[in-house]
Amino acid sequence: MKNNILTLCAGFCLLALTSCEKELMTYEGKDCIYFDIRRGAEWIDPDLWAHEYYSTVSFGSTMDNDIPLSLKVQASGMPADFDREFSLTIVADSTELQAGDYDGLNTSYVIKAGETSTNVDLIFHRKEHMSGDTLQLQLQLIENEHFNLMYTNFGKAPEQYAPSANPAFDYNRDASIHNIFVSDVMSRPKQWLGNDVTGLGVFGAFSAKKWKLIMELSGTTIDDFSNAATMPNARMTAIGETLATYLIEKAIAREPILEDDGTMMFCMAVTNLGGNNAWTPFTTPEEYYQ
Amino acid sequence: MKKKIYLFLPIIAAIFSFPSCVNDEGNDVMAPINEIEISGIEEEYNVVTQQETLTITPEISGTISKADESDLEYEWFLCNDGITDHHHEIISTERNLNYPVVAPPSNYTLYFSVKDKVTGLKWEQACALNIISPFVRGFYLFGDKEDETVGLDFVSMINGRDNTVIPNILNNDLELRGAENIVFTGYYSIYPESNILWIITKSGSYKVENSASQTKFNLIKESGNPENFIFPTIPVTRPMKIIGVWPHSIGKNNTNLARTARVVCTENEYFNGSFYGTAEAYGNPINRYSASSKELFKPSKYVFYQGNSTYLSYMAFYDETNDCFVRLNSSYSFASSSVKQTNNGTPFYFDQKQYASPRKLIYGENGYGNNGQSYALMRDTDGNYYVYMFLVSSSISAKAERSIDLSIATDFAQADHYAFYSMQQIILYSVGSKLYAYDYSRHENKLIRDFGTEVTYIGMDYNSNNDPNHLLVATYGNGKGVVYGYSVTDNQNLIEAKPVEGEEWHTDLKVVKIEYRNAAN
Repeated sequence: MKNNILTLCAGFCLLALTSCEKELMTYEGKDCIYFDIRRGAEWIDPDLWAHEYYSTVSFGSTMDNDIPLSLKVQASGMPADFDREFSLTIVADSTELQAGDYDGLNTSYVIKAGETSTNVDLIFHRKEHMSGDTLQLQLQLIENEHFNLMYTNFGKAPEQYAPSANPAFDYNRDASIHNIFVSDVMSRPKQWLGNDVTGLGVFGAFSAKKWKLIMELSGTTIDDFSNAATMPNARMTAIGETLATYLIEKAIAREPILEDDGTMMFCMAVTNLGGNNAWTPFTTPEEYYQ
Repeated sequence: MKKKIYLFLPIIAAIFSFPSCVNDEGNDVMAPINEIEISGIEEEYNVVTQQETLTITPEISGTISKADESDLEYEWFLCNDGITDHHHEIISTERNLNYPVVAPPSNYTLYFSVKDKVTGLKWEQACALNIISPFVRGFYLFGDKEDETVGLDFVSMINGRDNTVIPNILNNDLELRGAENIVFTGYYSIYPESNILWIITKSGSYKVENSASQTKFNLIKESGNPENFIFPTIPVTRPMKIIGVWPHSIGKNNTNLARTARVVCTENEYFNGSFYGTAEAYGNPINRYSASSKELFKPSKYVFYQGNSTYLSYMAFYDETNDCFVRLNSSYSFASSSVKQTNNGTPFYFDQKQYASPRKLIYGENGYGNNGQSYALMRDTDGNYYVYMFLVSSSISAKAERSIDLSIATDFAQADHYAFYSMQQIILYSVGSKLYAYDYSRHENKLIRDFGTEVTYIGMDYNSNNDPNHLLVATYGNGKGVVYGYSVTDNQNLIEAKPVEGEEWHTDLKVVKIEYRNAAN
């Protein structure tokens, strides 16, 4: 008995000298894979950029005939110590783009050992059939032995910025699917002083026809209208003078330049420079020449 | 009893197994150390970078014994007191500080650190060190060096210190030659990217760095290209060379009248721009008589406005193609074209072709005195000279005309430079090395001084001290230039100009233009 107690005491003493370490359990199970498309301002932490539900490729606001687009595919969980392959497919029912409209799409991709993401890099080409239209390309990730596709209702994380809203394009919440909308439609550029409702302002109401004429008369390009450094207000005013001078000359020669709706093309300088030959926004030739 | 003890033993052992123990190897024996005491350092120093040497001779003593200097290490370092970019810069490891100040202008804390090599202990004494820029206020002197490349000196004006010339502050890496003009528009914090400092040379116009925190100033090549901020849609002379920016700053504090609305003159055009909330940019030239016209008249390099005004709306110009004075069709910031100014010839015609011997503009200036009237020196086809005085507002008002009596005004027709003294009816002019003043009201002339070397520049300087009597004269000869300050006496019965004490600045430049600046940024 006495020996047992002494042994017990010795045991406690030994216990006092030892500590124990338990290995923590890490995540186990198949990781998920999803499109993690983020966009945001340069001055914002990229981790806070909005998760976007779609991407756009617009040929209508650039002179470039090829536009690259990089789509990040992200895996959840920890990096693996081996390469993990995945593949994606084009959803034919939701795709209007044709073969040759884009390059760079592979049948399979790899998230390399030690990494948790990779990029799907595409290059879109301007084609005649895109002119004046918006065409869709839908990509779908495929589940395999490495990855599940469980993020089917991807929402905004609390700290992140909200994604850009566009009811026509942003309907998809399934992060295993990504929609790309490719358009070649001349839309109102960032630098355009003018009111579409009243038709007033330096350039007046926007129209693709007026914009093309402006570029032709002033020797400017679509890209010039993309920022205030290349298209400041003073330059718009100067271009407006040139446009108005041309429009007035044509009107006096009874060859008025008409918008697609049949009204006479207008910009603010028409009023300033036209004198008795001036007209107001949305004037028809019949009204002008009566 | 024994059994009970054996029963409690494991419990006691278990209790004793929880705590850990530390050996206390300390003791209570306290040894006094030799503490260093530093004195002889003031609480604050103010020094000018690039100009002055900071000298401090601290006194060092020990609490136990006089410190053995061989056991001590010294370090003087500057702390910028920054929060996000906090850094220290060691400026000396000597006991006594003798620091030719080169650090950028800022408010620093200067630390003197003494380390006792025996004990390894350090003692520090701190003081405020305000390093001042010499480039906040003063005159830019722009001209040609002896090797014919252009150079820029600065007459630094710091309260409580003598004015000093800091030579060669421009990094002329393009080896520009042929100095013509320098323009400082004044600084406006809301638009720090605006074009503020220009030098104009034979080959073109060049934007120059101007921050007072710098010690050397580079040419800014990309954004200084006029093609990047002037966007005409009608044909203009290219490459565009800027020769002036208007209006100029006014007064000792350099009130920046050109901060949000300017006229920029190129060799053959002038452009106006209003850039509230936007970058500086210009459209079509306005030296034309219709906004739809592509036909431009040749403008003179002189721009007229009220020289005493701290708020401007209107400017006037001179059409050298048609020889007439013109105003703008709107305020200068919104005008799109020009309008010929007409009148009935009283006291003079704005249209010079009304005269039997048509006149041309020779020189123009805006005065501070005489209610901010502008002055034009005219010469007719017979070689006679006239002075026009007029006031620019929404239209131009002709105020007076005077003639120059060439039989009295010595060598006036050969004058190299002119300046109108606006407090009296006096025009100063230089011929070679001689500076004259001519009273065109009383028709009296006076040789102010024969400098012995060529006068390269004369100009009235209201700005530097809000003094309309202040005159600057630059001379050059034998590779050396001198800039003199004069004070013209404001007396209608007297022609007098006296040198201002302490205003004789020496330079290696053949100065062609002196421009005042007062901008902390």
